[in-house]
Amino acid sequence: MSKKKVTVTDWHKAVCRPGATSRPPAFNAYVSVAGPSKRSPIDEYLLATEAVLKRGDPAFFASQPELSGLMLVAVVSHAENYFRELFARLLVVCPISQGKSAQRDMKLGSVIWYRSGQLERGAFEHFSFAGSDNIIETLSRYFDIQIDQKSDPYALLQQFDLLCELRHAIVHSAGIVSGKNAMKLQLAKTRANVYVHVDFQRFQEATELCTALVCSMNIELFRKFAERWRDKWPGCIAGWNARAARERFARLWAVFASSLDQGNGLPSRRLTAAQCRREVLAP
Amino acid sequence: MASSIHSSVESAFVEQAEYLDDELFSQWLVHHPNEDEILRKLRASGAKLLTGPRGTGKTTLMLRARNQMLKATSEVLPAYVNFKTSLRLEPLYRASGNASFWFRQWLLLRTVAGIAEAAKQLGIDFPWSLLRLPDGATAQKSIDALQAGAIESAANLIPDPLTTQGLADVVRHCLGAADRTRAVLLFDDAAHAFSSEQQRDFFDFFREVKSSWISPKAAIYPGVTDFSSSFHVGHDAEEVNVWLDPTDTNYLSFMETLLERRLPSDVFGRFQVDPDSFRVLALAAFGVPRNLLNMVRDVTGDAPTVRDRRSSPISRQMIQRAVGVCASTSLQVFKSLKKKLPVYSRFIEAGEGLLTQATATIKDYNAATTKAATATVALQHPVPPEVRTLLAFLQYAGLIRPRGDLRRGRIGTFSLLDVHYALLIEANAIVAKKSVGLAELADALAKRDAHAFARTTSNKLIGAQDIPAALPLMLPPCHVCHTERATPTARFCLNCGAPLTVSSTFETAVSQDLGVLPLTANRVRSIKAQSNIKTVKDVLLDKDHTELRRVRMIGPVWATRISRYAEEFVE
Repeated sequence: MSKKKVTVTDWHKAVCRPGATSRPPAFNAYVSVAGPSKRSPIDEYLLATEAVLKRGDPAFFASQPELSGLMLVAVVSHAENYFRELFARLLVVCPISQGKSAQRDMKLGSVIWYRSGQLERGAFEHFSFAGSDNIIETLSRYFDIQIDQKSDPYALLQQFDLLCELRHAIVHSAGIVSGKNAMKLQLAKTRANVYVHVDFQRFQEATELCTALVCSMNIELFRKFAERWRDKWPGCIAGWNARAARERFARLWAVFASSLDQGNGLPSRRLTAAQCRREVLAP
Repeated sequence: MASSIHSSVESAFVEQAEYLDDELFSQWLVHHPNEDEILRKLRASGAKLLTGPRGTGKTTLMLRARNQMLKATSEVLPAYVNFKTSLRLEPLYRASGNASFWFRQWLLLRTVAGIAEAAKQLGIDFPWSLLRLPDGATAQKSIDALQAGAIESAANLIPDPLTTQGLADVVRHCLGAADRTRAVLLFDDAAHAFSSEQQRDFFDFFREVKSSWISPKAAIYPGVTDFSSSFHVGHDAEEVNVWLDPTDTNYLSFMETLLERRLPSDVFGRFQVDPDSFRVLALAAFGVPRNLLNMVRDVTGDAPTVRDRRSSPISRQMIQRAVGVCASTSLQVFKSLKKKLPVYSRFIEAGEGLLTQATATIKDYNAATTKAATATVALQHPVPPEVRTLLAFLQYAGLIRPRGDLRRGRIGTFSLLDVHYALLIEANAIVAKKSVGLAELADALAKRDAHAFARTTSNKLIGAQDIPAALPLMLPPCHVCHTERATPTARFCLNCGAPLTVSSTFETAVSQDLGVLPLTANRVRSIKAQSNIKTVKDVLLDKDHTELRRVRMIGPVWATRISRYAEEFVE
């Protein structure tokens, strides 16, 4: 009886371990549910970054270099979320922005998901705000707000763009800086791989940049929307009177005011909402 | 006219070149020993950095180069710009997210104003329209607004931001109109010594403005200049050291010519008949002409009348006292950093101790050696970063002069540092005798041996084993929860997340009491009692000297002098 040659067809399995069946039982376990926040977007950002900052002491960065880049990503992500929250809240309160954004499209998935509330947040779901272009464009297309190239936010957005090049490398290529990112960052040319390296000092600097951007944008947009409240909202909202003006200003104040910063005495002017309203109206 | 000015001994002691008018500047100009080469480099194409501590002649050389290039035969268009008021924009870096942009606008506006001034001197029209500015007055108003921190006013005055491209267009236009081929931009007091963010922004600007037909030249301080990450000395600009070396063979003849040009002949004659006095004073000046002028003023100012000033002999005591005052004044420049930079107050305190220790080390060496005396300590490597920072401050004040590194194989590497000669003379560290003649002292200082030096270490100089602990930065804790900073460079509190603030260098300087200026206690008291002036800021705000003139015994000369002291304090 002649031996029959066995045809080997699984030679490709020699390269690594087999991929086992992997099916997480429920993705619900990966998420937690919380009601919408009553804090202002800036306070949400400050609280979130405070938590990250407290984790990121010098010992953490010295002992966990493989996680250090993710700390940077966390802060950039919170800055991005600040813009999402702010834009959603502004769409609710500003009649001019509502008119301006009426022509914009929205993904059906967002409509279905947010049907029960926070629909405005869905309007910005398909944008990334990890970069200046989309932030500037969204402000223009949805809110009719132009960012002056001489303004503080504009300068900080340019720096934020550079930081986001690092974020791109951490999120998409395990920290290896791609050629495109390296060129934008004006890094010295080399044949070797260039890795993002985030230590305590760099992390603190990056957080300072994101916080400066969030704060300067918060101040600049509050100025623009408060002026709009004074000059344009009376003509857009039926039944505008002193009481309506107060109520609307209070809602605008709630969108922008940081109770955390005010509690710590950090704003350069100390005013209550009522005092601020009177100053906005002062001739 | 010239003779009447010349005869005024007091006016001969205006030490800073930018305060001299053109006539006096030309009349009193003394050639730097390496002047031809330095001026050639300032006129030539290519970027250059002129380095030297305060009073070493950087401004003089720049103005001399400008004057040469303004001549009709030159093919170069020169523009001289003094950036000494740049620190006034430093508070913007604490309060605005766009300070770099506005500082650059200020740099561009100042540069444009300098080119406009050169155009005026060459008799050509300046093309303000290319910059979308109506005229020079608007540019000046914008500069004033930025220096006052009035960003909104500046933004209204310059609706279209200036760019380096716009600057290049203006220069090209002026070159065509003046029939010249290239331009040299002379930036004096270019990078403020104590604002590293402004320094980095300046060097980005400096690098961008450079082209094949625009050559920027900047005067900077040694040691304390922080270049931007994209700026590389040697590659982006050549460094030219203008600090006179007291060991150079031409040094004494240069200083002699300086006095000959500045002093009336009869006053100068007193030093000619007593060359040893002159040699000691010139060497004690440690390469800084301003120091020599101050010492000569001390010596000649002793006599009660002008006639006496010109005829009475110079005694050894007078020389010793003048050298002592020079040592103390040079130290004062260094000590004033404690008020200007409170964060580094421990460094400044330790710096005084370092100088004392270095002087004692040199004195011990000179007492024991049978060879030539030394004024050099050899500091063993590695030098901790804190000590390097401290040495940079001492270098800025002209108290320490680096002479490069010495490699001695297994023994190690040493940084050679000369200590200010006036300090060494004052401590009797050069000649180990109780009573030293001026001739002997001058000979010992002039005849130096390059191989003689006193070895020491950072620990010995600082007097501590744990140098980081001995030289901490004096930073306040978190103002919200009072937790100490995790590191000196931390930006946020690790306990509560609040931002950690660093106070503005400019605001700190101007808020200082009037007593920080080099005025007698009596004068400070009378100014405070008879006017509303209490701080440095009050002097700066008193632009027409109305308040100062209310004080008895303060006329226009003293009012101007006090005002200059205040300006120098924040520059």
